[in-house]
Amino acid sequence: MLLSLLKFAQGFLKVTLTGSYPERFLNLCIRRNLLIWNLCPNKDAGGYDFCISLRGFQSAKDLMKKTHTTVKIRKKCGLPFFLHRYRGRKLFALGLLICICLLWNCSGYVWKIEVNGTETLTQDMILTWLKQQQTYFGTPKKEISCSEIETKLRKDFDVIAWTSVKLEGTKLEIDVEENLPENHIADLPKEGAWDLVAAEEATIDSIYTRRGTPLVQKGTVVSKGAVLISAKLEILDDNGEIAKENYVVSDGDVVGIVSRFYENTLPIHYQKKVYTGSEHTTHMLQIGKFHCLLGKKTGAYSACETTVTDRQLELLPNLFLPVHLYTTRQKEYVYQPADYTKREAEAVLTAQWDAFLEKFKQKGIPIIVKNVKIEKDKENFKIRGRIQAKVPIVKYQPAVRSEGQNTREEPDRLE
Amino acid sequence: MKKKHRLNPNDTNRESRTRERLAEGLELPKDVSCGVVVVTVTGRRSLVLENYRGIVAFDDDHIVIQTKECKVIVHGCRLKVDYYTNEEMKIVGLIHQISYEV
Repeated sequence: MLLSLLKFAQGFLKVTLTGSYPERFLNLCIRRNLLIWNLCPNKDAGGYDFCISLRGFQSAKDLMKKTHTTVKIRKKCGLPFFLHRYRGRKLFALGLLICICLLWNCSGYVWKIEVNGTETLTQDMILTWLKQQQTYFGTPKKEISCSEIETKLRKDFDVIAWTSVKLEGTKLEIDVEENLPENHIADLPKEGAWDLVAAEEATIDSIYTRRGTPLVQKGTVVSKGAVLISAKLEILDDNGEIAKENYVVSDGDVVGIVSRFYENTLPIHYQKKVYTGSEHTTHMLQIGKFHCLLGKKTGAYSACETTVTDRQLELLPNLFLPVHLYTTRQKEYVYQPADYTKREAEAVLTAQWDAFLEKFKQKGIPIIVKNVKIEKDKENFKIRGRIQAKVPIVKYQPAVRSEGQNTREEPDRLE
Repeated sequence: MKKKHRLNPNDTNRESRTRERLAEGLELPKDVSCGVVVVTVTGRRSLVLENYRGIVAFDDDHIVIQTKECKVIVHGCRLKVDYYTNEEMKIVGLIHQISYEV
């Protein structure tokens, strides 16, 4: 590869050698340390075809006379000949130089931002935040501090547990890892006397008390507002009677089995979207802030489905440039009155039911029982479902102190 | 005009034999001490030659190379010299046979 580049830079000739004894010419050439390559016999000319460097050819001219041979140049290759051929095209050379300078300049800015790993956060949220931090498309790379962005991201977004920001070419790549969904109980009050009560009607599945007195156990059915872990700590004397009552901020995890109901209706008669088959595609070129529409303008349809695809110019891997090609595809449709068949309605309603269940899965809530039923009346298809899930059911409520007792508040609390 | 002194073939042979013995005794490589041809063949499609004097004849199906002691003849088809320098040459193509001719 390097040798080929060197040969190209120095220039070389593809020649045909003829004469009474061409082998002598070749042998004399190598005695003078002239490189000959791609040597092969040429039966038509009765000699040899080979390649020789430009400098070598010039120094071998006297050998032709000496050996009574003739060299015919078939092709001139290499940079010296290329430059000589295009010596008149100064503007082309200038344009090439300007193009290289522009590319060099463009490579010093960020032209693409890629955000990976987001679940609850969206790419737009991160991009808006980056814009506020003066890091956006077109920001010079030397002004970007990746470690600073990482620190600020973790600081400003509590949900982000880990982040990595790196610059590759003209691309800023942000990888984030979000915290696992937590089954948050209500915020723990700092001081006072607080009971943990049931936030809704449930059957207790598990109870772990860290502070306070548990009043329920596994299997207990509790109604909304029932005290689960009391703030009152009773200190008994030797006779087993209450000597003192301390009030604390109760703390613990109580998981209850609760029921959730789901109901949805789907009208039998609806307006069906029917595609007419008519399509229109337009392209728009964007270079920096300048837009240029290629082809006819769209918007001829009264009702259409529009899809816009953005393709950015990537000259080399990770070397993105501020050149975008937007392809807008419009598909015309009309609404026609139609009725859902039973199978279609079931498919639509089941998809909505699955989306309802998915919300629980995303929060990490286990579902233990699920029942669903689809019915049809005159106007609608109806879906009714019930699930039983294990959810944290606690919330804080100020404790009611007993009258006439020797009570005091615990000064310290466990963290 | 200075008259060229032509060596007797017997003297030449004697000199070369002496050199060979000396090289064997000193365990020197023969290509360095005696200038014998070195032929390196890679598979059937590539052959590199060192210590030669020049090309005597070259065709599609054979190449004759003059060395110090003998002629090396390479038979094959679509033979081509990839590069040809004062030090070494590389022959490519489909090689059928390599023979030596005194």
